[in-house]
This record gives sequence, structure tokens and C-alpha cells, in this order.
Amino acid sequence: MSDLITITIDGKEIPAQRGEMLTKAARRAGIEIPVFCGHPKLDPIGACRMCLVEQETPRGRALITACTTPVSEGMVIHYGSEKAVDARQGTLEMILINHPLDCPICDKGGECPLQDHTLAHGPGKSHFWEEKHHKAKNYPLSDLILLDQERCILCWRCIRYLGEWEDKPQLGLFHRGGETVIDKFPDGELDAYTSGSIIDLCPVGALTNRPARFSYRPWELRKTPSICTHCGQGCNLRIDSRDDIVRRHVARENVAVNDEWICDKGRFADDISVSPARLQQPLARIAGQLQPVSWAEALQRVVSGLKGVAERHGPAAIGAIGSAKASNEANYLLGKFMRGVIGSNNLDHREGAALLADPRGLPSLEAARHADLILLMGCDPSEEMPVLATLLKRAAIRQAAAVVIVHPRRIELARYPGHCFQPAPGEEPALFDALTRATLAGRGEPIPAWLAGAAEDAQITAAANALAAAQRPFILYGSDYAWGFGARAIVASLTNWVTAAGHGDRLGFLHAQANSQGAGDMGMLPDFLPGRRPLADAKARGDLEALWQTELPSQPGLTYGGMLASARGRIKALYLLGANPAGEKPADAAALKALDFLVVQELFLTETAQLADVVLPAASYVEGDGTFTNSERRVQRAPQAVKPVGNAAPDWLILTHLARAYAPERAAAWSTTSVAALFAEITQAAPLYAGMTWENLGAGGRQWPWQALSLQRSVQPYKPAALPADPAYPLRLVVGNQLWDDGVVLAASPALAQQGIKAARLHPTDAAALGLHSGDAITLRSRSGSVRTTVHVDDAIKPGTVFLPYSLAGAPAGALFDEYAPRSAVGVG
Amino acid sequence: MDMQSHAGVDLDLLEDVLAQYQGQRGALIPILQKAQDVYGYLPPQVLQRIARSTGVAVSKVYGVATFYAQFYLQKRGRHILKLCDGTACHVKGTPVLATALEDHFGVQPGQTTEDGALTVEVVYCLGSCALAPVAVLDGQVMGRMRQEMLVRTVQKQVGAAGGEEV
Amino acid sequence: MSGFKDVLDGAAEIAKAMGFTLKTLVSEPPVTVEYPDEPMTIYPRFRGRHELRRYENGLERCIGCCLCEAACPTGAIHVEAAENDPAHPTSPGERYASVYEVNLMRCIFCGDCEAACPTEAVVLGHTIDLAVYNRRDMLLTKEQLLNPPDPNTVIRGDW
Repeated sequence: MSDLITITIDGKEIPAQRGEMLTKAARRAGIEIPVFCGHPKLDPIGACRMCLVEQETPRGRALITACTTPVSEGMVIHYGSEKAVDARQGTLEMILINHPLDCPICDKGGECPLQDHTLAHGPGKSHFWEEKHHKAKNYPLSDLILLDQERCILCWRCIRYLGEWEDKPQLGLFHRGGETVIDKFPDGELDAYTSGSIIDLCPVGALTNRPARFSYRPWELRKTPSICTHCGQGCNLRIDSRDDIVRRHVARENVAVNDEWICDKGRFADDISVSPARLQQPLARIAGQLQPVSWAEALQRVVSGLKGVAERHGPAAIGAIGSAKASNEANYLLGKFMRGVIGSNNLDHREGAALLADPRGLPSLEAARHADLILLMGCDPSEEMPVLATLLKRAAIRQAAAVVIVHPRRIELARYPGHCFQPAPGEEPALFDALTRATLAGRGEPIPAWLAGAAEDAQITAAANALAAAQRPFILYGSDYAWGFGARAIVASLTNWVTAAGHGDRLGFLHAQANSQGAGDMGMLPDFLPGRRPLADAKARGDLEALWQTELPSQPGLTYGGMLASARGRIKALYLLGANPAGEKPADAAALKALDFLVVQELFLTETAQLADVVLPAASYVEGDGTFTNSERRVQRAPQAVKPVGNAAPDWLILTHLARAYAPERAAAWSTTSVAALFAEITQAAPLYAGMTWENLGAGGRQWPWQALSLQRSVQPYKPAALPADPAYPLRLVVGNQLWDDGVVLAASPALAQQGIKAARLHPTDAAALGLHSGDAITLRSRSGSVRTTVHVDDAIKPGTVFLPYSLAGAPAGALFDEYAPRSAVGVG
Repeated sequence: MDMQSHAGVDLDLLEDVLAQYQGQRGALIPILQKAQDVYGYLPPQVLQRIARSTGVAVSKVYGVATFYAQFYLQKRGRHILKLCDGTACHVKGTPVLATALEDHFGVQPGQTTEDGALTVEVVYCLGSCALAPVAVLDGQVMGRMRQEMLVRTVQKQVGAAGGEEV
Repeated sequence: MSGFKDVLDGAAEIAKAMGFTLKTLVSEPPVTVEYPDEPMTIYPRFRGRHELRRYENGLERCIGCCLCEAACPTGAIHVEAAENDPAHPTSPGERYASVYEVNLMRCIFCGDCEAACPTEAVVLGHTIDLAVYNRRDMLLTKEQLLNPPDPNTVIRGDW
């Protein structure tokens, strides 16, 4: 039976795919059947009756809904017949009976399917002149979304999205007849992390973006296709601006990355370019105070400051810290400046050398859709990559993919059938060893002596067997397991398990930051050059020397931690681009103060920038062109959407001017004048990016292949790391990313201040033992410091641990870090 | 509907009903009916408990409960007065009866008196149009109602059992 | 000898025209208005400076819908909208114009803005003395536009 069939619409024969919906086949033939409830990403439901067409049946013509009718061979459809046209007119007239027609003040007006369909298919006038039903207007479903029940046409799209994609059916259809409304269960919540998608889906102006309300009319917006830079997924979105002010973000379809969804942080946290706290002018420390200076003076001060240090202490006394939030171009040029102009390999970023990440990130985000098993170790996609979490939920529901989780918290995805292991910090390698042993035993392979002692139980055996039997597992580990004390043992042992199960090549790493992958690809690492080529590789150095017309130092530099630790010793000057060590770990503030010279290139006057000798105001990613590389190695463009604030300048422009001022004799190697040209240079410097151009990155970006770097994996013994107990500090610290934190982006978006629970979390038994209740103020102490915050009692927390999210205002997790960080022993009191 | 006004609902009374339908698909309406038999109406906690037990989203359970006129989401009075407002009764003066009830008992259709004695509901046609306007007090059909007669009958009935719990 | 005749004919025509001019000069009153010494007569359909109107209760008619801005062929109007404070609304409903500016240097007084306005908030009034000393003063702000003497007047209501 062939899949290609022929159907007839209005006497015209058109080809169609067997089983596809009539609306889709008709659209391909250029017939746009109007729909409200139907949506390509949602299951058909046939709620609105807008798509009525006539079908020839053995018993005569019948009206059917095109959006719920699969095509079949020989089907004869009348779209333009009098009865079909009349039926659609009647439907529209009925929909409009109670619609308030307040288009002039409706945010949807101008891009509203109801307006468009009324113009194309509507009756023009109504039989009804009676008073309309009055329902709730301006009704907040959450702090982010407003509902206007009068405008609602009951198409169910929002209800279905939350059910089908988020698996959080928090909206429902209540009451009956003309009184029917969409609402939450009384006192219920709408807290899905991608809840804003229902605004995009709403075919009328019933659901509107609360923070962006009334700030735009669709026809006056400049629409810049861009990406989101809040996490490593790199969701595609559109930045809508007017008068160089960003008015809103809406999702943009890229099936390979984010389907058609963006998370609420990506949608609503769009105030970064209008924040009054943004740096607008270079600052220099004059007589002990940071004072505004001109760009020329600021750059001159940077040049003389760095030159002075280089002359007194040599180039190795200078270091630079890049950022996983900055673009590829910024990181590339910072590396080029440090290595090629200053002559130092002291280069790293926070998620750099210390993070035991797979250099290739994760194999493919799209693979999540087809997974038959999902294995998550030390990562929480719901908090770290909410749109990936929706894809995983869908795989768990629609494909019955088992979900296996190893995490110190019981994360959201643990609600799906599978296995959830909650090892306490320090216990992970033993668990993974047991899983490895069970896998080897299950496959009948010999068990090495060092694994013989691993304890096993029924759940471990079941999880091991499930992974070994999976055909298309989607496997991720994350930063919670990949850095700090004991991380080497955890990563080695989890790699052993996945390798033993035969899926070594599917083990991916979930990068929490937008450009962690790209910063590494750009050589923002002490021992790797652009393109992930080792510094030790003489040929790689030679290639770069030819491109950069310079000589490169071959001695590996210091890491992020190393540079900060040496700030009182051999490091005398630091250049920080988008890094805020002083805010993340107060102990580092003292170290930065000891430097001879500190340059900070930043968006805001951060704790670190306040210590600087020169502060350079950078343009945010919406204000300058750039590329970002997401967790699946997809290089995507983020073109300029609005003008930079004040005198802020794009990172690449600052660094280009700086290099030309520092070394006028090397100006020829620093002559690019656009990001497109700079990106062309990057593709030469980083062979992984060969073949890409600014233009051919297109709307959807391009990936460099997973196979471009091959890793040989086998089950290997590793060196265990024992985490000593500390009776004075009975709890174990667990840190992690949380979507709603107090980071830079959210601090700049006042509308989002109330989102999420910003507190340390304790298990109810620990809280009860300490006499604590949710909302109480607590002080967490470790051997190195203390933080004050509030407590939230949560039974998803492993007893004996305390969970502290990164980036809580006034409670930096780094204050508690000691040599066992991030698994430090802490106490409450 | 806020949770405060539904305090003191004993969810244990629901366990027998839930146990009876455990694992049965499509049993939501019978469960809601039995739950209403137990509590007299459907408080939100009960709906949440039913949702948890049946695996149906609470938004759907609430959708069903609000769709059918047979389910009540607010506490009802000890006496129920149904006023017919179908076409015939409406023409013959139901609105006047409703005004009279409001004047005497302080309740509009759909409301319950503050002491919980009387609930007034409007229904649409009881099939006794020849007797219009029709009122039904605690199951007893009363035809050709006039204001004074209705008020007197209700006063008598409510007064008789007014103070006691039923 | 047609050249000579042309000259004579021409002189005769000039004399005729001058005669008419001189006759009219003494027999008819002047039609020009000595503005600004004399007042101008302004007809109802005249389109002068913009005004933003209010309802009789004092609320602004403008709801910040930006349709005038969309209709304006020269981009002379700039509107920013905001949400009304329900306790102290600026206009009826949820939305009002927080910024309303008209750039008179761009305006061609075509009246498309009033045609587009769903609430008859913006009207081209009868003010004609538009001269200013500073180019910046040609940018009319909402405060300047919002003080027509007579609220709720629809100037071209009988259109």
C-alpha cells in the first residue's frame, strides 16, 4: 500500500500522505482551511468547528471537521461549496456572539487569527444585538500570564499544551454553555516552566504576556530572529523591538532544538537591555574611586596597566577569564588577545577546565524525542533546560520511555515510571559501580576484581538491565556530578556503567550555560586552542601562529581556580570578561583586591566590577551580533536586535580596539570590522567550524559532528575519593542550578522577582530535628564561611543534605566551599 | 470558592467510595455522585482527593463537576426550594416570586440563607407548565404559586424544622 | 507686416487688462484677510492642529491603541501605551496612552488619524497659529494636545 494517495478538493486533484490530516494536505496544495483549535504541535480535537468542509459520502454530502479527518484514497472534499462556506460563516458568527471585539486595546490585535479569519471567512455582520456574556477580564493566571475570559473562544489549545507537552494539566474548561470558561482549579497554580507557550498558542487575545502587556502593537515591531542565552539548549526565539527597546520575546520554531517552545525565563526575562543598572560608560579608578572616562582613556589605561605588569612580571603574570554566557566571538578574541598579543595561556572560564564535561556536549537534542529510555545523572533538565524537559516528558508519556535518575534530589522527571536513585554526596561511585557490576553480570561478561565488592539490590539490577536492553537511550550527566571534590570518581564510575551497557557513545553532557560548549570550542581553556586542539599539539600552534601572525606560548596556563588562587602570588593582572568571581565566592573578592591591575568587561557593576581598576561597559547579546554554540554543538546566530545602551560596545569591538592599541605592529591580524568577517576567521582557527559562514548558519544554525572528536571509552578502575564526615557540620551541601534564581538576568527583570522559591531546602526530618519550618531564616555554616538565607522544607531533598541553589541574592553557595566543594560539610545555626 | 469556607471536611468518609471504584475507568461521575451523597455537595478537597485516587487531573474533575447541574460545589441549605423559570412559569410570574423570596429571606436564586436553612435554586421547566408558576419545596410540587402563599409555605416549612439539623 | 500688427494687438490687450485691473481696484473690496490683525474665518471641515479629547467625566478618550500611528502616512505620531491603574484610571478600560506625541514638522494634516481613531479621541482642531521659535516645540506632547476647551466635541460629526 503506497503512502502517497490522491484526494480531490473543489474538483482539483492533490497528492497527500496517507493518514495526515486534511488541513495539512490542503495547505500543501495552497488551500488554507481556517482553524482555531487545530495546531500542528497539538493532538487534533475538533473543538471549534472552524474548519468545516463538505465530504462526499455514499449517503450524500456531509460536513466534517478537516482538522480531525485523516485523508484517505479517493476522498472528495468541497471546501468552497455554498454549504461549507455557510457553515464556516455560521461558526464564526457564533464564536463572535460573545467576543468583546475590543481589538483596539488587545495585544493580539494585528496578529490575531480570529481577526484574520473573520476578514476572510466571516459573515460581516451578526444576527445578534443582545448584551454579550460578561466574564472575567484582566484575570491573572499567574504573575506572568493574564486571561481575558471574554475574548476566549474555547479552543482548548492552552489546556492541551499543558497536558500534552508539560504534563501539568493545570487549566481546565469549567461550567457549561455560554458560561463556559477556561480557568484553574480554585486556588490552583499555573507553574509549568514553559507556561508562556500558551500565549503564543492562543489564537485570540485571551492569554497575554503580563510583563509585556500593552507595550507594543504587532505591526510596529522590528522582528529579529535570534536565540535564547539562558541555558545550553539555545532555544530559537524572536526578539521583537520598537524604538530600540526590546518589547517581547516569542518562540521561533526549530524542530531540532526547541520545537516551537521557549521557557518562561527565555520569554519573560527580556529586560536586560533596558535595565537602569546597565553600565553605559567606561569607568576607571581615579583617586581610589571608579569614575566615568572616555573609551579612549579607558583603553589607554588598560594598555598601560597590562603593559606595566607584563614588563615588571612577564606575560605569565597576566590572566584572563572568559564567560560561558558571552558569544563565541568574545571568547575567541579574548583568547587571541591573551595568547597572541600578551603571550600568556592563563585562560579559562568558570565552567572550563575544572568541569569534567564531554568536549562534545551531548549527541543530539532531537534524540530526546525518540528515546526509549532516559538516563539523567547529576542533572535536572526541568531546572536547567526546561524545554528539553518537555521533550523528555513527552518521550516518557508517548513512547513509554523509562526514566532512570541518579540525583541527590528527587527531581521533577522522577514522577515518570522508571528508577530513581538518590545517593548522598560521596555515595555515587559506589552506586555506579554496583550498576556497572550488575550490567556486566547481566551481559555475562567477566567482572573485574575491583568491582567484585559492589553491592547490588533488585532495583539496581532492574535499572542496569533496562539500560542494557534499551535501543535508543538518551543519556545525560550534568555539572552537579562533574566538578569539585570527588567528581573524577563520579564521572569515571558513571562512564563505566554507560560503557558497560554498550552505550558509551551516547553519553552526553548537559551544559547549564548558554555558551559553555562554545567557550571551550573557542579555546577559552588553559590547555586547549580554538577548535579543541591541544595546546601541546605543535601543528595546531603552528597553524594558529600563521593565522594570527604571531608566536604562541606553549606552556599551559593556570585554570580559573588556579588564577584566583594565585592572585596573591604569581598572577598580578586579570582581565575578566563577563565573570563575577567576587559575587560567586566572597573569598575571591579578597584575592582580586590583591591584584596589581584588574580589568572587568561587564554589563553591570557587579561585585567584581566594583573592585576593578578599569570597567568596560559591554553590549548584551541582544545589542550586538554574535554566535553561540549550544550543548549539541549547534552554532547559532544571535544578530543585533537593538542598539547598545549608552556608550556600551560589543565585546568583539572592545577587544579589537584594545589589541590594536596594545600592539599597533600587529594591527594587520586585528583588522576584522564585522562579526561575519570575524566568524570567517574563527572557522579558520577552529577546524571544527570549517565550512560554516555567518550566512549559511541561517535561521536554524549548524552543528559540528559528534564524530569529529572520538573518545575511546572502556570500563576502567578509577581512584576513589573519600568524603570525610565532620561531626561539627552534620549536613552535606548539594548545590545546583535553579531556573528562577537571582542571577544577573533575573535581577534585571523586576517583573520576575517573585518567581520560584529562593531558599535553601531541607528534608522534613532534618527540618523537624532542627525545629525549622518553611520560610524561617537560617544561617548555613561550613569550615570556610557562612550564608544567611531562608529555608524551604521539601521532601524531594535527600535526608542529611541541604540543597542551596546557585545565584541566590545574598547567599552565594561559594561562601560555603572548602576543599571538598561543592560537597562541603555544612551545619545550620 | 476558597478552601477556607470548606474547612472541616472529613476526607476519611470518602475512602469507601474510592475503594468501591478503585481501578475502574470511566467511574468519575458515579464517584462524584456518591461523594455528593456523603457530603451533600462537593468541596474542593474532595475533588482533589478524587483526582488523586482516579489519576484524572483535578482540572478535569472540576470541569465535570461544574458541567453537570446535578453537582453542587457550595454547601446547600437544609431546605431546597426550586423555582421553575421555564417559559410558561416565567411568563406567569416567577421573577415576582424570586423578588418576594429575596425580600423575605434575603436570598437570591442560587444562594443559601446565612443560617443554612434555605437554598433557592432556579430550574428550567419541570414539565408542569399547566400549573405555572411552579415551585418545589423539599420535593413537594406546588403549582399556581402566588407570592404570599409561597412565602407563607416556606416560612412554615423552614420554621418547623428551622433550628434543627436534618 | 504681421510683426507690426502683433505689437499693436499686444498693446491693446495690455491696455484692456490694465483697464480691468484699475476698474476692479476701485469698485470691489479686497478678498485677502489681514491675518493676524484680522480674524480668519474657519470652516467646520478645516483641519488644524491636533487635539486629544476627553469624555465629559474627564477621562481621556484615547486608549493608546496606536491605530492613528499606523494610519499616519508620514510617521508623525508616536504612541506608547500602558495599563490603567484601576483605582485612578486615565481612560475607560484597561489601556491608555502614556506617551502621545505629534510631530507637526511631519504632519500633512490629512486627517487619516482621526478617521482611524476608534474612540474619536484625536481630532484635527481649528487652531492654525502653529509658528514657534524652536524646532523642538513642533513636537507636541500629550499634555499640550489634551487641553481642548470643550470636552466631548466631535468636530466633524455630520460627515
